[in-house]
Amino acid sequence: MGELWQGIIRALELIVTFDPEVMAITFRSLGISTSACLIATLICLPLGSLIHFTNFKGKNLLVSLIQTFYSLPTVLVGLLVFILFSRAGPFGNLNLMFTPALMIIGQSLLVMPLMLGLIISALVSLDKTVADTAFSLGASRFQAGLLSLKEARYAVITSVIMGFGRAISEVGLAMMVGGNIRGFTRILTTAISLETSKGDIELSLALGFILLLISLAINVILSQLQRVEKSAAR
Amino acid sequence: MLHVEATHLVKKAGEAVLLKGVSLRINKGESFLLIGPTGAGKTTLLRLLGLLNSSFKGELSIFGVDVISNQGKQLEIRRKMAFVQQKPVAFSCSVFDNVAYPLKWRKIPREEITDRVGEVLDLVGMKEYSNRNAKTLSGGETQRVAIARALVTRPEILLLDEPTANLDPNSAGRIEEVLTKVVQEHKTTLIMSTHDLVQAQRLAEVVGVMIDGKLVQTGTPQEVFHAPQNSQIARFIGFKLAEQDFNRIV
Amino acid sequence: MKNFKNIALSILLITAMLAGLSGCDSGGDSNIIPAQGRLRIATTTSLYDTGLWNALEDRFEEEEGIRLDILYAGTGIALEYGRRGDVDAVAVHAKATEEQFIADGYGIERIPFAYNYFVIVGPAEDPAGIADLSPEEAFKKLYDTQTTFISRGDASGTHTKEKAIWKAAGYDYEEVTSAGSWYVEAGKGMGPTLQMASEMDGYTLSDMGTFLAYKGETGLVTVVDEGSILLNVYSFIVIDPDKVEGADAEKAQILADFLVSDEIQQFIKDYGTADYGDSLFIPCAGNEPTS
Repeated sequence: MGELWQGIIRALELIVTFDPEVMAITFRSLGISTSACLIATLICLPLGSLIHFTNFKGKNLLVSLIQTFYSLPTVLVGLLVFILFSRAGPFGNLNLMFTPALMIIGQSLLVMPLMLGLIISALVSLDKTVADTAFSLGASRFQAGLLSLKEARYAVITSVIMGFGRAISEVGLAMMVGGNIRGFTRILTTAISLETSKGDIELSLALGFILLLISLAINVILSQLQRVEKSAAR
Repeated sequence: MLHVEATHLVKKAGEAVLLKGVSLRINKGESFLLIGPTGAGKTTLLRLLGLLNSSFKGELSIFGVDVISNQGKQLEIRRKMAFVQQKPVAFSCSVFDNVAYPLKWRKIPREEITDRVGEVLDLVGMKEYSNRNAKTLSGGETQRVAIARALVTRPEILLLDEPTANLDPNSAGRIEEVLTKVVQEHKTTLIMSTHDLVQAQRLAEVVGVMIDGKLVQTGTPQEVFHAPQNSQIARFIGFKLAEQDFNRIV
Repeated sequence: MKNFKNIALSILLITAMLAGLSGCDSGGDSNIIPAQGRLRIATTTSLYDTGLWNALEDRFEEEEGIRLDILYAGTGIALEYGRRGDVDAVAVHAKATEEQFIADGYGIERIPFAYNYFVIVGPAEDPAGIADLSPEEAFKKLYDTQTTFISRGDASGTHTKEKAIWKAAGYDYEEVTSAGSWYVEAGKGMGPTLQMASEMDGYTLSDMGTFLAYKGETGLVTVVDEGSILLNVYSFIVIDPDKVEGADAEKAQILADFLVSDEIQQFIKDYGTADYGDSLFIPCAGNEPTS
């Protein structure tokens, strides 16, 4: 118990004094996950819209497949990305292994199924009349899609935030393709993993605290959005 | 000039056959009113004519263009039509923005949009509501906005699915005035479904009776109401008229 | 009002991204995309856990102006990274495996740069009574008495040495792994394995350096520290660019030269003496130590 308490105190110290390494790790985490989320959003918004509004054989199968990949183990995705981008692999000459850029690519791949599936869900639960009305007033498929996304914006934003949540809390992929290099690819989750296994509990607690705060912030934003969504739906 | 020519339209939804070989011809500038019991297929037919549904059998030409063999032209054709749903949905923005959307989609310049939206909102009597959030409107108000939204594009064909069904007599009257005015001034082809036979009598040049997925009789209101072709139609009309009389008295 | 919110949100987002990406590289060139110009090495956990590499990294980056990325991995995965060309050099301590690695053409040559000894460590009371036995005899006694022993279990240099001792003691390694629950395969680095041994009141094989660094925390003591089989040599191997595409042998060689330079050799010798009272490593300037 004493150790835990000591740990918490040191954690608060590190945070309050803006310890440079802790701050660097935190900002790196945020930067990587935010970028990954942005890329995923830019791909999933039009893609989700396209899938929703197009009828094709095997559409249900595709959606089921997407949903299956929601909680694909991060180490698995990490392993895949590692094999693809290792110097010995097909994309080896891009020289991306153990860089933040590859972590961003990896994390966007990780969150895309989740984001895609949730965006499609958001569009599905939107009143069908919206798209219909748009078409009936002369909207092209693209314009109707854009309108639908706007009308479902709270659900869509929720999807993006959930994607972010998954990105920032994952450790398997970041470890495998980032290498947890001090000062370069070390982020909150991989640092916690390393420091805990090395026994530096205090530092781990500090980092864990920060991660917790971030998760908390995400949750608060999410619940605010859900409230607005509820009142907007009335 | 024929605006709409449909031959033997058949539409299925799973096992059910919603349209069982509907054929009709509508001339430019004509007011065609569809009447019939609930579930007869009026909405289905309207949606088909409005090119909102492309899975059907039969032939359909709009503005003289066969829509099935000219899939690429569908957007172009749709842009010359406008459809107002039975329960219209307002987008989550202001009344002005709602009505402006169809013009934005057609890439009309901003100043022109402002003018046209103002003009049409005036027409339906919703000018003061310009900046209101459209989601906060009553049923009647939403209906008027929906009609404004449809009219702002100056469609050549206007399709409406029971536009005054949920309105109080005042609003309903207002809408009818608007429609009549638009038809007179712009020679818009009007294709509309209604439950109100008296309304049909007032607005229609041609009345089409739909029963059970078939267009069983078309003709002037005079012809249809006073000389129904079979007992089924007669029963429907009689019953409907009696019901309307009853409601008026009560 | 809504537009303001949107703009504010976008600004926040972009700031977060930029902040994160620039913070990606604390000090030196902020370069998040390809790692051209960065030297990547994989090192064994026992070298890393002692903090030696962190200290060397800072000096190297300052003196040579080359960004050094150090990956913390067991010998097994370190060599695999080398084979794949994901690192430019490795620093490990498993002689036989290393020689095979070089024979296969992946590495240019072994450059030993430091050494110490492995030790068998355990609880102060020495419940198995193996103090002062030879390493082989000690292992035999542990086996017979079924005393808790924590193995690295991760194909690391330490693990390889442990297997060598079992073999020298006359056991087939399969016999040992299936001998019972007293034999624990940790699958972790040296530091964490020592902590595990401490918590389970068991014995383990460790390199002297890491052990000294963790001594205070674990309360374990050296039980067996004599025996030629316990020699632990750390070598640096530059990946051969002829066999492995993309390996930056040039920069790796600079690091190799750095490691065997007089200045750094002295640094290695002095490392840890202040904190732990004894050298954690003994320099050997490229020559294979004999005893």
